[in-house]
Amino acid sequence: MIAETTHPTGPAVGTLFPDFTLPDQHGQQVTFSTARAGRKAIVTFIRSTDW
Amino acid sequence: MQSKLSELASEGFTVFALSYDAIETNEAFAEEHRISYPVLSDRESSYFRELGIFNETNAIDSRSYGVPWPGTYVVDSDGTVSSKIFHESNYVRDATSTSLREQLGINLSQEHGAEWTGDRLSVAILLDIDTFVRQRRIGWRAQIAIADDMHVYGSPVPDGFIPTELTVYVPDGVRVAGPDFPRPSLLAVPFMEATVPVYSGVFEISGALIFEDIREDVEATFTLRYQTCTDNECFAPEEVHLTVPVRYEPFA
Repeated sequence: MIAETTHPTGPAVGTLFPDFTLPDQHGQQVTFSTARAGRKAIVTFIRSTDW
Repeated sequence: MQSKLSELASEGFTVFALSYDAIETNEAFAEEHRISYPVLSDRESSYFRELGIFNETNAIDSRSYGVPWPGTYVVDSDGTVSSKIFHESNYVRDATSTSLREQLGINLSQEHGAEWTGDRLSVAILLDIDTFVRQRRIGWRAQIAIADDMHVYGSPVPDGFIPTELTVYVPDGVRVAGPDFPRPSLLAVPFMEATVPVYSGVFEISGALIFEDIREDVEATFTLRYQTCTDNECFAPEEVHLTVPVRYEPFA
C-alpha cells in the first residue's frame, strides 16, 4: 500500500527487486542477494544518517 | 528499527538500510544507535537512480542533493517486491513499527502504554513505540473488552443514549489523529422502532500521535467515556483516564 505520492516510488509490487553491492558501515561490500540468502527482506531508504 | 530487529528476524526478515551518506557517517550513526543490520552507502546515488527513487527536486548545490525519496520495500523470499511504503509527506515520518502494522499487517510487539480494568469493561492503550523523534507519527490503539451480555453504544445515537467517546489530550507540539472507530453492530431497541449502533466483546479504536515541534518527554491522556448496558438495563455512564508516556529521543 502506497500513500498517494507525486514522486516515483521505484520497482512495482510483484517485480524483481534489483540487486545491489554497496559498502556497509564497516566498509565491507554487501551484496543484497547474498546477504538476504533466500529470506524475506525489509529494505529501507533514509534521507540521511547525518541530519 | 534496531529494537524490533530480533522480532523481525524471528519472522524471517533480514533488514537493510540505505542512505547517500559516506561510510564513516553511517559508521558513526550505526555505533551511536547500536545498529547491527547493514547501513549501506550509496554515495554516488547510482543505485537510487537505478531504482528510480533519486530525488531530483533538490538543487545540485544543496545539502540534500543526492538523497532518495525515503521509503521502505518488503522483499519476498523469491526476491520480488511484496509491498512498498512511501510517504506522502517528505517530512512527517511514520515510526517503522507503525508502517509495518498499518500497511503490512506485520504486528511486532507493541509497547503497552496503560491499562484499566473495571467491572464491565477493560481497556488497554497500545503504542507502536514509546519513544519519538520530531516529525514522527506513532500509531496507537485502544483495545476494549466488554463483559459478556453487555454492550456500549457507537454513534450516532438517539437522545438519552450515551455514545462511546475517546478523547486524547496532548501538549502543544503534538497532534492527534483519530479516533477511528470500527464498524458497529446494530441492535434492535424494543420500545423504539429503530436500531442503535453498539459494540460488544472485544473491539479496537485506533489513531496516531504526530510529534511535530516538541523536544521533551510527553504524556498523552486518553479519556474514554462510555455506558455499559445489558438488553434490559444500563449502568451509569463512566469515564476512564489513561496516561501514556512517550519519551523524547533526540538522537534516535
